[in-house]
Amino acid sequence: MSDRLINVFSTVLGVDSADLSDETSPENCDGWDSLAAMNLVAALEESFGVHLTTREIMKMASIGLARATLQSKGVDI
Amino acid sequence: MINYNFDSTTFFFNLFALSILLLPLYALLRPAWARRALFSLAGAYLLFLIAPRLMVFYVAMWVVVAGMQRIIFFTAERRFGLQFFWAILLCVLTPMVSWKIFGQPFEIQFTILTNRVIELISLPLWEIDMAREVVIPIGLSFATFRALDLLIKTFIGRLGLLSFDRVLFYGLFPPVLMVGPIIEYEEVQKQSDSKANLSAEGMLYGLFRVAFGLIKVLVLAFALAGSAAVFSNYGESELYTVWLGLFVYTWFFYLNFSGYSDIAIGFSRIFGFQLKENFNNPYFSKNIAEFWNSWHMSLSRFAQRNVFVPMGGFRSKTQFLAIYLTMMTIALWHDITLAMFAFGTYHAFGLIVHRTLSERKINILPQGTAANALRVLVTYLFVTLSFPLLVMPLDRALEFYPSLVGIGSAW
Amino acid sequence: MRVEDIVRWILGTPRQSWGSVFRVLTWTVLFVILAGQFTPKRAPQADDFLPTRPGVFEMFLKNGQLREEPPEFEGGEQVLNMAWIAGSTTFNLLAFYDRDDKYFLPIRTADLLMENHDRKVNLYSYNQTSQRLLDTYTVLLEAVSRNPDIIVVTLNPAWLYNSHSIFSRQNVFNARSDLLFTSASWLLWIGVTTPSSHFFTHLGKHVPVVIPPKDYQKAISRRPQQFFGSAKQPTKAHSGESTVCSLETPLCFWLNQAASHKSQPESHGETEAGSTLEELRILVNVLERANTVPESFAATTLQAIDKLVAESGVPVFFYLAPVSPRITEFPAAADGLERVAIAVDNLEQNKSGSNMVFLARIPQARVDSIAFGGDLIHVEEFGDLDRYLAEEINKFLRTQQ
Repeated sequence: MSDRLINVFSTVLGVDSADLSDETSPENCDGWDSLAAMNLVAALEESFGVHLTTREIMKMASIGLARATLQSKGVDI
Repeated sequence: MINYNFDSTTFFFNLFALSILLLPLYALLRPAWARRALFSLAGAYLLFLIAPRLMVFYVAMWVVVAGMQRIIFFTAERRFGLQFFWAILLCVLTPMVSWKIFGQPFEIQFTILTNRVIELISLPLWEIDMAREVVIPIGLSFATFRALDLLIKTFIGRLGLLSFDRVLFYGLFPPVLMVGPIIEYEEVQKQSDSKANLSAEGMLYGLFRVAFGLIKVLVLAFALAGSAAVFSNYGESELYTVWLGLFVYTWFFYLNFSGYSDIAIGFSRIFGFQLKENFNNPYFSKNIAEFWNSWHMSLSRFAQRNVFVPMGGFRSKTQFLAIYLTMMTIALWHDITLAMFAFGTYHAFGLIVHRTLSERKINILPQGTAANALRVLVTYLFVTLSFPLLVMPLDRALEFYPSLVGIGSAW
Repeated sequence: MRVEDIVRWILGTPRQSWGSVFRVLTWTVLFVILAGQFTPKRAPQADDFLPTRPGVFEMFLKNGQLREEPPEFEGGEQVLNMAWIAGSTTFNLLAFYDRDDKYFLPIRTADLLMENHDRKVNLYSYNQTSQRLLDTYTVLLEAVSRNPDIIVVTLNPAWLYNSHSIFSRQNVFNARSDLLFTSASWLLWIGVTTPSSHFFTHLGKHVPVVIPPKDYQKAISRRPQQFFGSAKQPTKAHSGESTVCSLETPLCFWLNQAASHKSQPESHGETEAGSTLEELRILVNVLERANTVPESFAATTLQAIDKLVAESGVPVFFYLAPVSPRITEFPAAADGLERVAIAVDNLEQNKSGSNMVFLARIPQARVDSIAFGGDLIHVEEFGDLDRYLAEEINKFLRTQQ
C-alpha cells in the first residue's frame, strides 16, 4: 500500500513505506516517539493544507485513525 | 500514596484462589454479557474482602461513570458539551485530589461516610466492614485515572456509547484493582465482547508471568526491603552505606512494583486478556525520555495521551510547557506534596534538556557500546537521585541529600 | 531482555498445547508434594502464657492458632474431659506479669470438680485474650468435634453482642477455615473467610512447606534488617493512642473517630495505670453499644452455636462473665449490660436442646466476693466464683446423665 498519507509517515518516521499500514501506531512502531509525533503533525498540516485541532490530534492514535480524521476534514486520501 | 504493602499480596492470593473457581466458569459461560458479569462480580467480591465499604464505593463510582459516559457521548458535539465535559472531569477528580491534598483527614471522613452508607444497606455487612483493618481508599488513584481515560476517549470520539455492564466490567476488572496497571478500555474491549479466548499458550504464558512476578515480589524485593531503612538512618550511616542503600532501594522499588504488574498482566493473560506492558527494563534506558517510556508505562501513556497532547506537546511552541505539565501529572498522581512538585520539576528539567539536545541532533557522546553503557549509567544515576523525593517529605529529603556527599553523616 | 522474552525462552519455541499446560501443572504439583515430604513439619509451640498442671492441655499455639494434632482425649468412666473456651475474664489479667499467684479460673474450677466427682478431670483450655464471639464459635466447632464430656464457654459481656469488632484476629478462622465451611450459616462463612485462607489451609495441611500468607507476612515483619539498620518506626498519627488501643486498631478507629463518646470515664479521676483507663474506656464504650437485634452478626452466630450444640449432643455450659457493680457509674454501659443479660436469658428460654445451659446472671453475693480491676470486667481476685461455677456445672452435669 503506497499512498500520500503513508508516504508522509514514511518520510517523517524514517521507516520504509512497505512496513506501514493503517494498523501502525506508536506502540508497534519504534520511530514513532513524541518528537516524531510533533514533526508528523506539522508534516500532515503542511501536506494536506489543513489545521488540526487538539481533539483531532488526540484521536490520531494510529495511521488508520489519522486517515479517518483527515477524511472527515474533506481530504481525499 | 499507593500501597505497596502486603495487602497487595493478600489481594493477589485471593485472586489466585478465586481463579480456580473462576476459570472453569469463565470458560463454560457462553454469552459475552455473562462473562462480563462474572468478572464484575469477582472484582466486587475481591473488593469486599478488602472492605465492604470499598466494594460499595467502587460499584457506585463505576455506575456513575457509566452514566457520565452516556452524558458525554450525547453532549460532546452540542452546545455546552465542553462545559459538561469539564464539570464531569472535575467530579471524577475530586475524591482523588482531596485525598492527595488532605491526606489522613480525608481517609477518615471517607471511611466513616462509606461505612454509614453500608449501615443503611445491611447490618451484618456493616459489622464485617468495621472489622476490616484498612482505613484508606485503596486503588482510588488507579480507578480515577481509568475513569478519566474512558471519559476523555468518549469526548474526543475514540469510544462509542458503552453499556452499563461494559463500564462496570472495565471498572471492576479484577487483576488491576489494587496496583494497576492503569489499563485502557481498548485493552479489555475485544475479549469482553467476543467468546472466551482461552488458549494453552495464554495459560502457560500467564502462569509463568505470575510466577515471575511472585518471585520478584516475594523473593527478590523481600530480600531488598531492608534498604528502606536508609531513609531514616542516613544520619548515623557511613557514606557508602547511604549510597548502597539508595541504589538497593531503587531495585527494591522496581522489583516490587513491576512484580505486581507482572502478576496482574499474567492473570489477565490466563483469562485471555492481553494487557499492555507496564515496565520495560527502565534502569537500562539510555536517556531520560526512554526511561519514562519504560517506567510505569501505563501511567506515562495516560499522561502522554491526556496531558501532553492536549497541552500542545505536538506543537514546537508549546512542547516544553506540555512536557512540564505531563511530568507534573505523573508526579502529583502519587501525592500532592512539595516533594512531588520537586520530583516532577526535576524530571521535567531532564526531559526538556534531553528534548532540546535531540531536536538539534546534538550528541555529547559518540556512538558505540562503551558510550551507551555510560548513557545507561548516567540515566540511572539521574533517576536514583530523585528517589528521596519520592519517598520522603521535602524537608527530610533536603536533609538527606547532604548525607550523600558526607555532610551530616557519621564518619 | 524483556520479561516477555525470558518467559518465552523458558517456555521454548514449540507450539504450546493443552498437553503442555497439563505437563507443567503435573510437575508443579509433584514438586510441591515432594518438597512437602522433605521439609520438616514446623514443631508446634504451645502457648505457655497461663499456669498449668498435669492433665491440663493448652489448645492454642504460640502463634495464636489451634493445635493441629492435640492430645487425644482419654476415655473411661474415671475421667471427666472438660474443654473450656474463654478469654481474658478467666485469669487475673491486669497484674498478670507482676505477680506470683497467677490465677486461672478453669484450673481452679476443675480442681473443685475433681473433689466432688471422685474422678480425674482433664482440662483442655482454649484460651485466647480478646476472644470475640466469632472466634468462640470457630473454637467451639473444633471442641465439639472432639466429643468431650463437657464444654464450658465463658462469654465476655462486652464482646458478646458488639457490632464494632466482630472479630479481632483472623488467624483462627483463617487457619481453620475448614471448620467454618461446615457452618450452619453461610453468612459466617462467606462474611469472614477468604478464598486464599481456604486454599492455603487445605494445601498447608497436606503440604507443610506451604505457609499461609498471613504467616508469611509475620515472617516478613520480623525480618532482621541489620545491614541498613532497622528502620525507625514512623510516629503514630493519632496522638494519645496507648498500646491497648493499637492492639485493637479497627475497633479503636470506630470508637475514636466514628462515634461520639456518650460517657467519659476519664473524668472519674482514678489512679489507675494508663492502659487500664484506656481499657475501661474501650469496654464501657463497647458495652454502651451492645447490639442485640436479631439480624446482627452476634445473633446469627449464637443461633448457629445453638444449632451446633443441639445437634452434637455434647453438654455445653455457657455463662456470662460477671461485671463489677461499679458499672452503675456508667448508666449507658449498665443499660447495655442489661440488654446483653436479657438476650442471654432469651437464649436459655429458646434453646433447641437440653444439653446446653445459658447462665446470664450470677447471684449478687457471689459477684460481691470478686475484686474487679479498674476496667470493670477484668478480675484481680476471683473470690468464690470458682466454687459457684463448680456447683453449677455439677448441677448441669447431673441433668445430663
